[in-house]
Amino acid sequence: MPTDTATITQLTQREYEWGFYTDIEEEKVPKGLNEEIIRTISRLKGEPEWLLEWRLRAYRHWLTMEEPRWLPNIRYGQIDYQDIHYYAAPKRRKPLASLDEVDPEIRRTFEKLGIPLEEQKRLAGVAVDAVFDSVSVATTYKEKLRELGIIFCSFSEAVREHPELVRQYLGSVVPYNDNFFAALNSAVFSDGSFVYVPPGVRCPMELSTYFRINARETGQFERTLIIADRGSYVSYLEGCTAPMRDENQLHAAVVELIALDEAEIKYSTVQNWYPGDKEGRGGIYNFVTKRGACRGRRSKISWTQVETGSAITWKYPSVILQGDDSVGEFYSVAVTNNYQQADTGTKMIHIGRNTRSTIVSKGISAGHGQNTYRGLVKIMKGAAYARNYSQCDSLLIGDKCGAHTMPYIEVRNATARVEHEASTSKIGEDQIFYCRQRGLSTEDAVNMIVNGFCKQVLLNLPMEFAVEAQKLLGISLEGSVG
Amino acid sequence: MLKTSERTGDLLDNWAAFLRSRSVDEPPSLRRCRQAAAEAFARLGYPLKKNEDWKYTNVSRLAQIVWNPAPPIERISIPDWEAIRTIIANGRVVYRGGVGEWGDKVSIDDWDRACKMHANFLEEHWNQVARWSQHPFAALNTACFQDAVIIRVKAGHEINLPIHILMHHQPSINTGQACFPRILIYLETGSRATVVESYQGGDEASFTCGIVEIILERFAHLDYYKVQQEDEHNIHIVQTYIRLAQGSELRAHIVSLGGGLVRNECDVQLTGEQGVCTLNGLYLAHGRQHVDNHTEIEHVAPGCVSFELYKGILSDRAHGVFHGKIYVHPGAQKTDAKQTNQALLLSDDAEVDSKPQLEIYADDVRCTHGATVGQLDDRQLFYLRTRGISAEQARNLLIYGFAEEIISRIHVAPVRYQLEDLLLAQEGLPLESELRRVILP
Repeated sequence: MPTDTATITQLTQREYEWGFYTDIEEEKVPKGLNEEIIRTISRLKGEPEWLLEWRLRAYRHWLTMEEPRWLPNIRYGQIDYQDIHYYAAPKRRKPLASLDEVDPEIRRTFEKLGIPLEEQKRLAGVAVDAVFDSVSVATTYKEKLRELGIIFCSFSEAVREHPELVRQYLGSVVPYNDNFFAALNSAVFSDGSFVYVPPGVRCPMELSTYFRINARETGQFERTLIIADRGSYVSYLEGCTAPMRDENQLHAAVVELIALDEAEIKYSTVQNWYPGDKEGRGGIYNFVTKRGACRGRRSKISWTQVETGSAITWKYPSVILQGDDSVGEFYSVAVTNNYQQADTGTKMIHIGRNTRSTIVSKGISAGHGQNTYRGLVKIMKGAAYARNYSQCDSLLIGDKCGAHTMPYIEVRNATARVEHEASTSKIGEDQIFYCRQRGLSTEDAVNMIVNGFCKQVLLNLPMEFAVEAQKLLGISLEGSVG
Repeated sequence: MLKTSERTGDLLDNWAAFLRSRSVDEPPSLRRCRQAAAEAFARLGYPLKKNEDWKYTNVSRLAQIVWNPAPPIERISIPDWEAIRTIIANGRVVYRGGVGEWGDKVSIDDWDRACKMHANFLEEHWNQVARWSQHPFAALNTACFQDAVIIRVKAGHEINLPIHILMHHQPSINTGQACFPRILIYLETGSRATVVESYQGGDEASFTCGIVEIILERFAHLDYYKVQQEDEHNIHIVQTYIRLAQGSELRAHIVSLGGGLVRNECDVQLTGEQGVCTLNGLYLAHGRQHVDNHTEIEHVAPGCVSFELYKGILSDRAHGVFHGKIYVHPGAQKTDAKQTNQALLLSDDAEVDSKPQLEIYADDVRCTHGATVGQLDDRQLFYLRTRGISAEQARNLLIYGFAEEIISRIHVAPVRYQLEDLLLAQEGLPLESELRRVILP
């Protein structure tokens, strides 16, 4: 549709609106990675000896590992692991007594991002943990949650206040030697969120963490640990942004979820790290390990993700279905525009009997984007009557992009039933024509079609997020049809 | 104990000595090619499990043995159905017959004759589609093959009689004997033919490592059948490389029944517009058989169609593997590709690994793949039971029906009847040949 090219060009040139930088005094550890740095991070955070030991074990193991380079559609430059500040935190004037004492500069940053830290201003029913570079700067609604026995705090605080829980579960789903980036994270992780929901409690509000990378030449290595005890329920949301820069920044996080008997965890992500500019300069390398364990019977873990940002996204939120009758779900929308690359998907490991999993993945490629779904469905021998349904659809917009689907299906039990379906197609000209005929602009038509394409996934997002995600999809793809 | 690298070295030395002992006068370029392939194999070695293409198929037991040439065979029985037939026994062409009246439309030569009479043709078309420099087993075959069958169908002709190539492997004793059959099928512009390739024989420690190259020039049409019924312990690794020019069509049917460790590779390149490729696959595995079907369809040119349907039935401790990649090159617009892979698991000890892949670099395409793994459908069983059919028979009928979808697409009657009877007998059902005798006297 050549007539629309002008508006399209205009629209693609729209800036990443979260790309500003907050000028704030930060303290950083020197660049580089060695045991001394790890000891420093651990000391700054006032950690117990066992955690330092664990970090050092991870670091020593990391040294023996090789950076994964085998993914054919993920290409990136050398990462100099010695050229990164592994810890950067806004300077604190004095210890915080309450939320009101958060540095006004940081407060303004989060307000600009639409995440006010004053509780009264917040959308009712969402508690936020705000992570700025390497530290958590504020957590709202803590007291209210505490009344129910729910622990929602920064990881550092959890280490101080609930060491027994952290010690019991840390690394129990993603061990420190799991993969290259998980090992790196285990060695240098700075902050993140910690959630514990006691037995039988249904968390009355959405818990949410907002991650912000601000400082230059740093990486963000946060770690999230969520434990849902017997019969409890929690819904957790995660959002993120970063300033626009020409160099790439590394984000290597680890998320561990544990659901005990009849517990349910719903984990939603709207990932909007800086994707780089139109020529593919800059942007975040988002190399994340996310995994949940359905330890108990009839437990459930559900991942929903909308991936629109990052120069490279590389993550496979997975579920280990150990408990009998447990359920795993994965709903994903991944958008790659310009020179973005995404390799994402899930692993569903069926161990228990009657375990069920559903995978719905929608990939959208535009510009020079490369979008890969890579997933594993593994039915172990004992997983009698396990059931999996996977659906992976890709939408291609423009002839320079790529869409790839690489499922792995391994079945070791004859009573299992596994179905996988995938399709790749172009955004239908007839569909656009139909909308245009009814007076919609091409842009609106594309938006509508894309939203329709993703609906199955977006429906699974909590309401506040669904609105934001729909908006984001529109913005990420604006101007990609022509 | 020898290191693997020493064994590959010994293997190549053995075969080089063996090949020197023959009197075939190969064109110099092909001789150089053998040398390069031997170097490639020495460099690549046997694939390891960490190699993504061999993730589910472990060939380490191949590397334990220094494979030797199988000795010549004296007698072999010739199938009775009518065909233009060539028999390769233990890697040598031992019989050619039935060309008769077709002699001016099709030529079928062994390696010796092709080197003498058609050196120019070989220079131009030999080794053109096989990726021997990247694939360890293709390199091994290219370095070690001792004889070959070269089929050439002349432009514009249609060969109505099936061309049958029978590969018979009969090792003398269980001592690790290999044969390296090699076939080139070349269809000139606008020609049509049907080729049936069948594999039989083998024993506890034998290895069939073959390459089939198929080149279809413009508007050529080939019906191709590969039926593998070797001994249940034989190792069978055969790569089929296919190149389709503009407007040509291939209908391939790959049926695996025998073999202990089986790897069928099918590598198709659609290089001209409007090419059509259909791949139908069926494998039945029981005992401890391991059957790996590895297919790759490359859409290089725009406007091509590919259709792929693979079905597997696994019982006992059998292990089935399916890898199917559809690769759409940039610019291959209007590609229409469909891939389906279905596996039926009949035993709790059977395993299946499926890896369907789409890799797409063009936007105006329609590509889909579907994979299912499961048991027989309870509702279908119930339906048959309500009609008074015993549980066992209902089960057998459904298994037969599952496989029949592929077998019914085989257009060479003797091959289809034989497979149908085999399957019916296996499932304890009345033989169709008997029914046919009753219905069609």
